[in-house]
Amino acid sequence: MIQFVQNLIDALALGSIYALTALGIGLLFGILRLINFAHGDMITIGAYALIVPSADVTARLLIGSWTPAAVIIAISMIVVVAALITDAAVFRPLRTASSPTLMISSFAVSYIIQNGILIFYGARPKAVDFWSGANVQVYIGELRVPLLQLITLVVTLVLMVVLTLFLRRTPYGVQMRAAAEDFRMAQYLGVRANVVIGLAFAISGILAAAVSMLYITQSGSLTHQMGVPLALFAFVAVVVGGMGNLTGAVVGGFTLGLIVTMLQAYLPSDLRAFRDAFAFVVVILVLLIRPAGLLPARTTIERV
Amino acid sequence: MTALLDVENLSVRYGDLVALRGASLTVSEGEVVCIIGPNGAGKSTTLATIAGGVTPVSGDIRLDGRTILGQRPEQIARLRLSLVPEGRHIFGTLTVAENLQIGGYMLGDRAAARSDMERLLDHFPRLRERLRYPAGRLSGGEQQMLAVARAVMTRPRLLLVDEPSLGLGPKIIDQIYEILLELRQREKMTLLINEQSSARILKFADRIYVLRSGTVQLEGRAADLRDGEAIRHAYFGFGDGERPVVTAA
Amino acid sequence: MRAFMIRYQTPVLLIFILAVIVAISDIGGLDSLQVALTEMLIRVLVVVGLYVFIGNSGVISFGQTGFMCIGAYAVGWATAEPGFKQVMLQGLPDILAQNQWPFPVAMAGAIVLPAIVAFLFGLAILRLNGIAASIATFAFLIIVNSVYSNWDSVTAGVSSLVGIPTVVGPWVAFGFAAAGIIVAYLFQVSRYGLMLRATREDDVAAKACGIHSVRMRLVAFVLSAALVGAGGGLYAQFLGILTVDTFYLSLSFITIAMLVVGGMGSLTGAVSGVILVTVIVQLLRYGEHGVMFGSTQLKMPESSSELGLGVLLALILVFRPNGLSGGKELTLLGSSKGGPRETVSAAAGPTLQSDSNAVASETTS
Repeated sequence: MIQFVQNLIDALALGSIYALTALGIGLLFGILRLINFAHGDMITIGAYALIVPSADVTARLLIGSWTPAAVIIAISMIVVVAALITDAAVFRPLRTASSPTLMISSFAVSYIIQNGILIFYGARPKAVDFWSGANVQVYIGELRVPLLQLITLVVTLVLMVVLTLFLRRTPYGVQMRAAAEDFRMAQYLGVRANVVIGLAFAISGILAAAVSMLYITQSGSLTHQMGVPLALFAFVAVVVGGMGNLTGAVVGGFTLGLIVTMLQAYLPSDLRAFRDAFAFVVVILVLLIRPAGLLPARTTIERV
Repeated sequence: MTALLDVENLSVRYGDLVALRGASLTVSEGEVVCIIGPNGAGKSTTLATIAGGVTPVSGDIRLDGRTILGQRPEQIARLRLSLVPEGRHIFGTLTVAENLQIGGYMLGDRAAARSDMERLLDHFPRLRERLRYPAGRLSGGEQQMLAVARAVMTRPRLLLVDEPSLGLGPKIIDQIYEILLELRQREKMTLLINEQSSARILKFADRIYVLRSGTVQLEGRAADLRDGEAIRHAYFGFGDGERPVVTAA
Repeated sequence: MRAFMIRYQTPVLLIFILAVIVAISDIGGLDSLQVALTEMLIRVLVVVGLYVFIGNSGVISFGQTGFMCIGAYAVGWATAEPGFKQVMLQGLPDILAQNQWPFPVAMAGAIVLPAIVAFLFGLAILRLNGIAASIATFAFLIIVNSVYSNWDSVTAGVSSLVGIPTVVGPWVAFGFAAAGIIVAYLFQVSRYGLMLRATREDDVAAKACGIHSVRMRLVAFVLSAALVGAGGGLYAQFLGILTVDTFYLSLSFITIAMLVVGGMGSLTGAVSGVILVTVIVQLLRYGEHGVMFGSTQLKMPESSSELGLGVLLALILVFRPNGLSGGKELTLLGSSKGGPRETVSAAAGPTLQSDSNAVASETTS
């Protein structure tokens, strides 16, 4: 029984980082119908921004050595700028393009960023010691609770609530949703649609920055493709949780964490290496039963 | 006296397709002007271009004597020119209230926007009943009213309405035109309306333009054109009186 | 006769162009060119396979590279030297481990095995809406990679599978590429191809005409996997060694980029995209190795050819989203009705939000 609860805690811990990543992806999808493959690379950019830019094998913290508040602000700003650049350069010209086009374009952006980082920082993984003091276990009775993941969980839930309120209650949120549904019509009504969409990208940048700081604390290693597995799990989480709403993305993230953890715990040992494969198979099964996801977005109008 | 809106020699192309060639029209303050013409004549293109959604290849568009060519739609909306486009284009996933609020944000004055909305809802009691509904659930007629109300929230001096009667039943169309008339009188709005054809619009409008194949075939005061002969000629490209004019019943 | 020629001119022209390229390089006799050329022709087969599904259905699949992996390893199992197999791949059934099967048998495996997997997988995911299906294909790629990387006893895991006879040169690759072009063209002008393209344009309307979209997609998906798998099989017998990571994100990106640059909507696009991107990447690679300008050497940083490809793809999407071919087929004599029209479009025109996918396809197709 204790073991089961422990597994549950581990699941939440794992799921929390997926959920936070999924939040960023779900936001852009809900607003723009854009599956942003480059979101994982935004996370990578945030992580690499912590160190002194160089191709050396050993990394020295630059921004990463500032005070926590300064680090958070600086990294967020850097990632936000990166996100805004991708919007201005690639996604804005494609504002009225079809979903497949948008998907491939974000694939291209992702590829460009990864190779850019590769060229600039070199291919070898760099070890980084960032806030590793937070990467500890806290013991509640017999249960082992990883502190960092607990922080991630709290951050995720708080951001989810804040964002949902923002989208539902504030004028910017309303305009964002309107511009998302019908970009041109929003413009006709005086909405500065490009500004509003840029705001969405900026917010996604902040979310990516949060993930990068939390993730690098636990992984301790920088590679040019470090964001890819996170983003991949997050896409799947968004699809499983229900595309088009933030709560769905978060639920999907935790669900996926649960699936992976349970598989890790209960798969026979010689099959454990295939854990990720099994996880995705489970995902596909979920999708077969509920193709719109676990929490489908509120009824939207299908134009026939 | 300069006209409120002056469209001069407008030409618009979509790739190889010529939608408008050298169309010109003017609208004076306080007027109700109507553009009629068959499908594909270029009516929607005209309104969309005026509102900034389409870039013409040549010609000029002037508001109060100053050119607005090349400005983005959101800038033109701030010049108090609003478009109610064909097909309504309400934001289905937003509530009725939110749809209305969007128009008001541009003004930057929340109190003013709120009082505007109250006043508008007096014109549109059906909308008041459904304020919290997702707008996508409204009927066609209600959506049309919402689209008009939403545009009015931007406090336009000139309201462009593209085929308000499209797809609606006669009773609803009557209601909508009543509202448009009220708006013109009480809110002092100038109206430029597209319709395919309608005996009703002839009673409603001050002046008429007949558009066919991208050019203006006929222009005149509605009062002079009421017998319909000239219109039929311009509309169909021939006119021996044998073909009945299609009117919304 | 003339009607026949007009109708089938596109595949004939494309095959002819490829044949000319191969012939010229054959006569020219540059060995290094032969290698690049063979690889290009194999990629033609793969991208044509990609096109059969993506171009006709409008659903982006990121997972076709997974089928290439399956096909390649099928060939590896069949044709690698028994000595190697018995030591390194002890999980292989004896019929494979003890024998070295000839080319036709190996290729049959490379075609059939991916097709079977595609059938099963497609049954599961093709009923999802476009975006969810695309993500599922991405998941498929990861699954294949994960399984093949970890199933050491059968695939040698992360080390290489060696000892495959390298029997594939430019003309063999050309033959298969030509066959692939013919198959793809026959599909797209057949009833199935037409019905599938109808679902691409407007799924609801197509269904209203009685078209069973999932079934149509499944046919294309399986056919696509067969072609791509064959490409993988050729690749194995071209390289002589296999590693699982060859068939992962990078190759997925390159093949999709080739298709989009050429034009997702036409067979001509698939073929021309491969040729164009191969040329550009080769040029960029020369730049990486260093180019002599007078007495100084200009050298671009490593990986800049990849970066360049990414930038090229982004530029194409923004400025010419329908790719080089613009969605049209190559023709000389009159109009060929075999060409599907644009799938990728940045909207123009007077309408407002023109993405018909925009509002709510979170429901199943």
